[in-house]
Amino acid sequence: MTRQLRCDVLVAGGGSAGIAAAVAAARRGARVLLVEWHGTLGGMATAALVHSVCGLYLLREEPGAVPANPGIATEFAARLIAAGGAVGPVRMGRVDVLPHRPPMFALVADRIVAEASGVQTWLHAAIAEVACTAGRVERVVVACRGERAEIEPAVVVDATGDASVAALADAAVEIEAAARLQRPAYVVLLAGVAPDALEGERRLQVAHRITSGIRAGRLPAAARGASLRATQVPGEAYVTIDLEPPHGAPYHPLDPSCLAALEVHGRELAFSIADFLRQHVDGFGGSVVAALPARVGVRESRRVVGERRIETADVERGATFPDSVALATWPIELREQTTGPRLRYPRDARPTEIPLRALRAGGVANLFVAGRCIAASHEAQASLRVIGTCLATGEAAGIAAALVAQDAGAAGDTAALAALVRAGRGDGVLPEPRAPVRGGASSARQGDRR
Amino acid sequence: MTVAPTAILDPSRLEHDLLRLVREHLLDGLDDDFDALSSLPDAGLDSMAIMQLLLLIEDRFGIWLPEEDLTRENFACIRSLTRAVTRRHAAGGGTP
Repeated sequence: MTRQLRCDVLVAGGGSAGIAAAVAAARRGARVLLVEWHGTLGGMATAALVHSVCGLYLLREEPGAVPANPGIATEFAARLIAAGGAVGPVRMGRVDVLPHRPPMFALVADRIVAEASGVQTWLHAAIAEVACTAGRVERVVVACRGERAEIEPAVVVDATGDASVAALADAAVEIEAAARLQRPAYVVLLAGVAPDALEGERRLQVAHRITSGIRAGRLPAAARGASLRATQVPGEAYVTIDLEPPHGAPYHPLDPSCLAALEVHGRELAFSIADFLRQHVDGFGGSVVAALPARVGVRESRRVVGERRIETADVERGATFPDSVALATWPIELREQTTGPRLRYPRDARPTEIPLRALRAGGVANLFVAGRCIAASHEAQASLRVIGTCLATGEAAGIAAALVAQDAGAAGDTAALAALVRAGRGDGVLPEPRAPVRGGASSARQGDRR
Repeated sequence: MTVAPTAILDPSRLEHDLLRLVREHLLDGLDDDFDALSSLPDAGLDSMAIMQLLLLIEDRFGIWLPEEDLTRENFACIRSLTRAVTRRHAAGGGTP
């Protein structure tokens, strides 16, 4: 028997954007169903072992990190730090980042979601089908290990990272040409690294040894995409490898055979690099690969076209919009080649305002988008994709979704809705939850059937 | 794009060439006032970028900087890097 369930807000994807969306909507009284296909929340920050939260702070010449977005982005960072899951912020070149421990990110995500009463979380569950009628999502089918559930949401937030709901709803979507897509990262954790192995000039020595290993044929040329960083935990270091698909195959982040090839290639490379480090680099003699990611870290995939695409020039000049709901502060970080990032900073270190129109899938009134798949150009996305910005767009989409779930008419005027979202973004002060929306429907938390 | 190694390194142009190499291949969108004395680490030249730079310098100039040249002082700015490459060139190229 197919399970059936109604909710106010269905959040598809439990990465940083989805977590923030679910919590923000629930805090405004919405009954939320959060659907995630991994066994942990956190998305790239947990499943892909991406171990830095970027985009949390304003770009500043002066020392001292200033949070860019009040509300859940800042709250989540504070909770990560308080739980011992992050130490920072840390200045790296011209940016401030918050290095974190992925397991603690998962734990903090569980807790913040659990505390927002009104969120029911489904893990190991994937969005399978979306049925639209007259420009509205009517029904979403969620699949879990051969079991189907039909969800009837008032509003949907697509935080899948791949605009999966938007694509299944036949909303306008786009994807960059394979040759230009930002390359994915394969991240593994090493343990047993000597405490000073990546300190000061030793970092340069490690870089030199790897480069020499490539020249001498002891490492594959693809190891050129590798970089190392010590963690806050003694003995731990991350190896991050920017990947090309093997054998010159085109990169397609929506193709399961390409993803499989990347995962296998990433593992092979990671173990070759780990073996090389153990044999040839001081301080790595006792090191081992201690953890593999659950998945390769995809940086760019499909996006919605949206009502207003954030263009490259918008980020370069730090554009402002009347319907701004969040700030993007990370530079344009291009990873089109696997030879290291190319960073382009906005003029005068200005933040870019993210318009609510970029979080709306054009033509589908009750569908919002959050995270790395919002409406943006290829290069603008290279700024917006980072976790801190995903938390901020997630919160904005979650508030907007709760408001529209309470009053469908609110969807009609994006500027007015954006003003409500801005007013509703928390500074730790939570508005009173409103009365449940859909009279008669029982709480999603109890998993109602009808 | 890999370019054939330049047979003869022109020390008078090296600083200019290295600046261009870094601008075009490693650090996109540097400020207009970025010059040979600007801090490379502050501009984002991390150890991964240094790996790429080592390989680029070998590709372009046929000079391989050995491990002892990998110091923070040498990679502080384009001018200090130019000095290091010039020294290595004078010492016979450094390519084993």
